[in-house]
Amino acid sequence: MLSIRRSLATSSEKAVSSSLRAGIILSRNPIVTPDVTNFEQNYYTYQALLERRLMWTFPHYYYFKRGTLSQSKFSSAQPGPISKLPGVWFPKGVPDVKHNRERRLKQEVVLPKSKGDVQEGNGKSDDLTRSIEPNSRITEADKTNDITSLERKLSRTLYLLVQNKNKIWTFPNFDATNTGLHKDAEEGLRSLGGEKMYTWTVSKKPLGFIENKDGSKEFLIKSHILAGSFQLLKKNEHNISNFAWLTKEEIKEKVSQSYYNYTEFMLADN
Amino acid sequence: MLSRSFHTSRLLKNGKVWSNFAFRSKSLGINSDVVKKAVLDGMLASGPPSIKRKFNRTKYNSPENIDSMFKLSYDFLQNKAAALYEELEKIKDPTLKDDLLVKAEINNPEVQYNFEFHDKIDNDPAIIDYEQPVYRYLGRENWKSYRQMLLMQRLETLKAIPDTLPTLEPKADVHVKFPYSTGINKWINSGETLSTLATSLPPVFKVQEYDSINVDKQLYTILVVNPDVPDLINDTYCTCLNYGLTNLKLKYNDNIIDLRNIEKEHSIIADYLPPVPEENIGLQRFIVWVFRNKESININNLDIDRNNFNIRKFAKDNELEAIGSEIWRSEFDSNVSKVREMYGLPKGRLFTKTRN
Amino acid sequence: MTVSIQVTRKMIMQTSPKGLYAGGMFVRGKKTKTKGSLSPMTQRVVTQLSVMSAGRKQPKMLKLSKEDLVKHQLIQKSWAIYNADLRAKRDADLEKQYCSLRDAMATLQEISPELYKIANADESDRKFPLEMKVPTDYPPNKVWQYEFRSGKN
Repeated sequence: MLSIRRSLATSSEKAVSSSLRAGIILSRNPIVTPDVTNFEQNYYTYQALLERRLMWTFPHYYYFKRGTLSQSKFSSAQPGPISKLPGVWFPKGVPDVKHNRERRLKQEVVLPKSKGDVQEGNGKSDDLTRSIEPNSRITEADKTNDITSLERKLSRTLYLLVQNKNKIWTFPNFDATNTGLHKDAEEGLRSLGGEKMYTWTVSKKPLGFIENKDGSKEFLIKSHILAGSFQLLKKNEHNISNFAWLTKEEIKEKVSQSYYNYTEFMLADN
Repeated sequence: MLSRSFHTSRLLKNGKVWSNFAFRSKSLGINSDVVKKAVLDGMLASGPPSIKRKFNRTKYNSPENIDSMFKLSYDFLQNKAAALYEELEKIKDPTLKDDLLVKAEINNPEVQYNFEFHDKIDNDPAIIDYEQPVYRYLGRENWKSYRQMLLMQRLETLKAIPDTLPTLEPKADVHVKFPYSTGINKWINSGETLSTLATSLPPVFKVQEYDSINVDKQLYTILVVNPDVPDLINDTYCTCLNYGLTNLKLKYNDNIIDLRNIEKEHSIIADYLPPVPEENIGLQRFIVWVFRNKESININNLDIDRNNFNIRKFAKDNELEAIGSEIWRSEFDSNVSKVREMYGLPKGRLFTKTRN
Repeated sequence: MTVSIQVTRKMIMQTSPKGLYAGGMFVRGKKTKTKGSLSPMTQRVVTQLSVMSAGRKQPKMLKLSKEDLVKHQLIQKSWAIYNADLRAKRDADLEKQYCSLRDAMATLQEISPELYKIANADESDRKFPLEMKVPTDYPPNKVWQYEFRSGKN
C-alpha cells in the first residue's frame, strides 16, 4: 500500500477519463442482531415449549445435597405437581410423578429468590442476583428520526447517501484519477466528510457500475465505517449539501427507480 | 377441473383460497365440521374429536402455543397458495396446470388430514378424490414409499421378470382380491401363497392410475399368466394364459374390474382358469399384467393358444404398454381335485423325483 | 437395670471400638452408614452417573392427536418454506453480485487498462480489521466509537 502511494505521489494525478467516476458504498454494519418477526418469534416459542415438554427431569439431587439449607430453599420454591391419592378421581389423568415432576407435562424449574431480589433498586453492583437491564435497542436517534446519526436503526445495515445541489440523492462519487478507483473513492470521501473517519475498504475491485445519463460510468467500491463519523464539510468541491445514513427501504424512496435497480442487490436486507 | 377454474380471480380477492369451495372440490376440505373446527380454529375445549373415548379426550393435552403458531403458518402457506392459483389463471398447458394445482394444495392441512387418516385403497371419493391432482400426487408418493418397492422386489426375486415380460416400469398400482365365500376378502400382498380354493373363482382387480390421462378414452388389458406349466416333451416349461380381459375402461375413483361390470362380449380374451397345480410340482407363479392399450382390440381377430401362450409376442402385436403388475403363488393342496371337478378339468398328473 | 448401673468406664472403652464415650460424657457419634450400603465415594459416582442416564428422568412419550399432528406438520413445513425463501433470496442476490462484479471488471478493463491493473492487484495479504464487531442482542453502553486512534497519523 505505502510503496504504491509513494511512487504515485510523484507522478502527476490527472483524470483518466472524464467519463469515469469512482463511487463508494459506505455501510455501517448492524450493531444488534436482526429484529425477530412475529412469525419467527411464535415459532421459537412453540419449539421452546415443545422442548420443555420433552425435557428430562431436572436432577435436583445432583445440584442440592440432601438435608442442606439450599436444598430446602430450592424445593420450597418449586410449584410441585399434584400427586396421586387413593380414592380420588383425576379427570386429567392419574398423576405420574417422578423426581417431583409430572411426567406428562413440562417441568417448571424455579430458582429461589434471594433477599436482594425482592427489594427494588438496591443498586448494589456486587449483588450477583440483581436483575439485568439491557440497553434499549431503540436509541435517541430513532426517536428523533435523525437520519444523519450513525446510532439509528441498530439492527439494520445503513448506507451513506449524499444529496447534491439539484436535490438528487446518490452514493458519494468522485472523478477517477489514475491512482486507482479505491483510492479516489476513499480520498474523495475524506474531502467530503473530513478525516475523522475510520473506514475499511473491502477490495480494490469495484462491486459494479452504474451508467449515468451523461454517458459516464460510475464504478462502486464497497467500504465499511468502523469508527468516527461522517461530518459534511460546508465548503466542499463536490456541490454536496446534505447526507444521510439510510436503510435499503429508505434508499428506495429517495433515489430514482433506475438507480435503485442498479444497486438494489448490493444492499443488505437487514 | 378445467371447467371449474374459470373466473377464480374474482373469488381469490381475499386470498383465502383454502376455505373457498366455490371453485374447488369439496374433497379438498375436511368432511366433519367438528374436526374441521378443531384443526382450523383451535382445539375444542372438550378435546380432540378424533379421539373416541370421552375419558381419553378429557385427559389429552395439546402442545402449548400450537394453535397460535398454526394460525400464522396457515396464513403464510395460504397466501403462497393464493399466488399459485393466480398464476394458474395464465397457464394453458394441462400438465403444468396439474403441477401447480398440486403445489397449491399439497400444504393444505385439510388435504393432509384427509389423506393421512383415511383409506387410500378403498377410497371414499368425498374424502380422497383421485380426480384431484393433489390426491393423485399423494397417492403416488404413498405407493412409491412401500407397495411399489415391494412389488418390484417380489417380481425380481420370483423371476417374474424376465420370465414373462422383460421388465416393468410401474406406473399404476394394481390390487387383486378374491372376494367370494371361498376366497379371502382382502387385497392380496405381492407374492403371497394362496390356497387353490381361495383362487377357485375369478379375481377382482383394482387398477389405480396416478398419471394424468384421458380417462374417457384410455383402454386397458389385463392378463394373468402362469409361466410354470411343465412341458415334458421339450423338457422345459411353457406359459399358460389363465385369464385375459381387454378393452377395459377405468376411472380415477371407480376402478374396480369385476366380471359383473364389464362388457363380456368385447372384453374377455380368455375365461378364468383357476390355478390347479399338479402334485409335487412345487409353487407355481401367477402373474397379473396390466397394460395400456394403444387402441381398442377386436377380440374376434385374436388367435390365442392359451396353453402355450407367448405374452411378449402378444404385447408387441397389440401394442400394449405394461404399467403395473401383481403376483401370487399356488401349490398343490387338498382342494385341487375339487376345483378341477368344478371346471371339468382332467385329473392332474402326479410327478415323482424320477422320470418314468 | 441394675446391670447397667454397674457398667464401668473400662468396660465401655472395651466394648465400643468407635469411642462413644469421650471426655467423661456420652456424645452421639457421626452417622457413617450412608443410604444403602455404599461408601460416600461410590454414592457420589452413582449420583453423577444417574445425572447422565435416562432412568426415571424421561418424560412420558408425546402422543399427538390426529388434529395436532396435522397442525405440527404444517408448522414445520411452513418454517422450512419460510427459510427456503430467505435462502433463495440470498442466493439470488449473491449470484447477481458476482455477475455485477465480473461485468464491472470487464468494463473497466475495456475503458481503462491501467485502472484495471490496479484494481486487479493481488490482495491476498489484506487483513481483516479487528475493530469490526459481531452484532449482539442489545447495544453496548457506548453505541458508536466516535474517537479512534488513526494508524496513519
